[in-house]
Amino acid sequence: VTVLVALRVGRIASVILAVTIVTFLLMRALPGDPAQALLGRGASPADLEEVRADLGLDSPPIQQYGNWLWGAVRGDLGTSYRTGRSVTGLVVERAPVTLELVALSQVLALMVAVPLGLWTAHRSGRRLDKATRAVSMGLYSLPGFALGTLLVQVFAVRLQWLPASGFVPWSDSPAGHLRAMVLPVLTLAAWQAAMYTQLLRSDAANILNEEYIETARFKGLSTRRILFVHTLKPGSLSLINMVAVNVGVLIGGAVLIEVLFAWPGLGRLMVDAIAARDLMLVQGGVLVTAVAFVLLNALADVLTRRVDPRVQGNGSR
Amino acid sequence: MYFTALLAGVLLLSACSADDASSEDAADSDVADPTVVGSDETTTTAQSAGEAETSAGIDEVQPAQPVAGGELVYGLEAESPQGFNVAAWFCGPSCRMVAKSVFDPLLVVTSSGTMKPYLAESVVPNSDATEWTITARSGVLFHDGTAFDAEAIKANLEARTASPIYADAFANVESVTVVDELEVLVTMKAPWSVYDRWLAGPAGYMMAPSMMAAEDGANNPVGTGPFIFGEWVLDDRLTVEKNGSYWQEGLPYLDKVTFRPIPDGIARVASLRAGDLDVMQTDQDELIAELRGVDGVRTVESQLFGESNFYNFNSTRPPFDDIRVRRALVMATDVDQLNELRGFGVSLVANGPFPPGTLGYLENPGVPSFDPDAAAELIAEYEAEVGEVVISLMTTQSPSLLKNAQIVQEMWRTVGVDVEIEQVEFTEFISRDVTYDFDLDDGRLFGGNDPDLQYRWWIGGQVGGFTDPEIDRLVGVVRAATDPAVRKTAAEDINRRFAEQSHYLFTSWTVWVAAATDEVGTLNLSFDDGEVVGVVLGDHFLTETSLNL
Repeated sequence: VTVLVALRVGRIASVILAVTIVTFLLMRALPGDPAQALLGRGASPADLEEVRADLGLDSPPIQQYGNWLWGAVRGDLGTSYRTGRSVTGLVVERAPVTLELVALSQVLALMVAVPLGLWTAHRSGRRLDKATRAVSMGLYSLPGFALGTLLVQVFAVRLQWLPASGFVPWSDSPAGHLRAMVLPVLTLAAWQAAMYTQLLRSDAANILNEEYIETARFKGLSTRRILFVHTLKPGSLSLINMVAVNVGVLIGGAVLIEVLFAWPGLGRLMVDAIAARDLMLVQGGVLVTAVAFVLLNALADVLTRRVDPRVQGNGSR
Repeated sequence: MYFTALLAGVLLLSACSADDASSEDAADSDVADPTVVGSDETTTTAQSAGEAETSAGIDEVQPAQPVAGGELVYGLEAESPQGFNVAAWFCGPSCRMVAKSVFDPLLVVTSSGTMKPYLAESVVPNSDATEWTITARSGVLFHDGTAFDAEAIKANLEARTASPIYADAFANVESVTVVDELEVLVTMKAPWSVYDRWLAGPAGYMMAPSMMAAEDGANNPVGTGPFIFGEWVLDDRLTVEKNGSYWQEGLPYLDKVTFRPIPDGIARVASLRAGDLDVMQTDQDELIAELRGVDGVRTVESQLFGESNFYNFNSTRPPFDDIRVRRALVMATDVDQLNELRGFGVSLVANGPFPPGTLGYLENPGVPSFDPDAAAELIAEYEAEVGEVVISLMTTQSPSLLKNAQIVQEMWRTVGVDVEIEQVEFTEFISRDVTYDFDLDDGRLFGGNDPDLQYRWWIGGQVGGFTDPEIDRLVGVVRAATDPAVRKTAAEDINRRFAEQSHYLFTSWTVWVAAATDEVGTLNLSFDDGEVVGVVLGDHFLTETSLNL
């Protein structure tokens, strides 16, 4: 077991290392000069050289990467070129905002998708199933920022029930915090609820045709028990993996929602950093999202095996 | 999917940052020349004349009895990630809104163009403008309790001279000497008749020496302004609180201001309409058009000293090193139609670098008229001699700039010019622009009310790479001449020269708007003689602003 764990940890570490190397190379390959971005149009060559030296950009790339990696191992992700602030501090400040947004949106999406997916699988071909599929298709095809804008126009501008933008820390006002959460979470959860519903419906529909389900029916088990106990468990394998992938993606990729609602999240921080060639910040952000992604996938593997012990380490039976 | 999401975000934010950064270039330009406003030569176009009251950025709302107290929430178009060391970094409209709350400038320019000492008691040149004497207002304290005095002014001015962003423009400063407790003498290498105009912008915002010395000073601004810096959560909010010991007795009225950066314009307008914001700023034509029709919201519009939107020809290489090609594209561009199609008719059609109200403005500087046939002839003549004209138009990922590019691409195609549109990120854009690695790109620059503020862009043809000794000579006259009439003539000659040489293709002048709900009192700063400072280049003072509590 120890060897397996060590192998697993080694694999995770090598994936994360590879991601940071690729990010470093990609950022170096991007056209545009960070020093020029900082100083703007009027800077002289001497000024630019000075800033490049301050930023450590004048040393060989391998040395730059090595310095960064050595710092990262010690918990120091360096200083952001653009803001002059500690990358670790910025990531730590932003991560909870995004994590809360992503977590709540997943909870909401699953709260909708699980009962609806199971029920439409059970009542396949009926009105609710057809209506759910139609709505799901609509939500798929509606970009997140379009749905968000629509929700803002209705609930914030017209009805003035909820704020149109802004993040309110829990410490400032718990009620304000929750009100500010509603529209972003709803926007992010909507298309995922649609996706999860259809995914679960599809898997559950196959399971409902299995012989052991028929047996359960003959035994007189209630529909609720058949669906939530005997169908959900084997039918959720794809869903678990999809949720894990989605959460990983959204930790860095909820940027459109963060921009639309002016939230100080991790995705917005990263996108700004990429645009400004803020290498240190991009490296730090990618490291955090890569770690989250890999850990979530590992968690998904564990959960999958708990659900179905026949599943191997690579997620297949 | 992860990278797709990131890429989409990059596209969205690059659009915003492109606009922000270009407006930052005009950051230190909000100064005026009293010699030209109201003269015959400053006759405005029909559009601006019809909106004379609002287009000067003056807020018409003036409560009879302002009520003290309350918190105002202000929606900014961008964050200021580099902080508020205004000597070290460009300070765009959003930065200036915050900076004007915490810092005071040495001088201000009123909406009629009059220069007025503000934090300085006086700013006076000698007869040939080789020396300037700046006298500090006495009894003023920085928020850290230290005195605003001659030493503080010297530290601030020397920081500008040493700064990469001001070094070009301020290279003419020989020395800054403390004369006594309140007086500073600035000695120039050569006459500089309009040095004071720079001091009305961020170059004249006075920071506390303690802030400039602190390692993290940019993130903890300390000034003498009406509000004291409170808390800053990057990309979320920055708060300032009333300075109870402000040197202007009884001011400010507001207890607190929260600045919220909301880069997405649609989200910013929605936040204003939803009541999350009290005031917001914008220069986006489509948002201005929308805001004009919102009940309970007033728009304070400013066309004063606005930046020019233009196409920038790279004159260092073919084909734009040939005036025939530059001139042909100017004649092939229907700027009226362009403005209608892309800007909802909000912006003013530009005929040069100086909008109405700015020294050098001319109703007709001699820009070649829209004449596609003549343009086609010039292109044919050039192609017969040199070869086919195939050009790349470099632009950022801003949707509105792309729309512009597509419109002119079609206009130029009709005269025989093939144009490839190349969209790049702003960082790449600026890097390639300054190294002249492009054929043609777009820009928004040259804002400000005095041609001297463009010194660093035009001397030696910095923007566009043209070589024009006549422009260099005229820019020198504008900087050095002490006779207003000589300066006026030189500035107008610059305008004519740009029109004649087609160094740039000017399309429109920017309109800036501060939109406020009915709960908000005046956005003006007023003086006893009736002069006011309103919205200029996207920012304004909040010193006399109040809320209807």
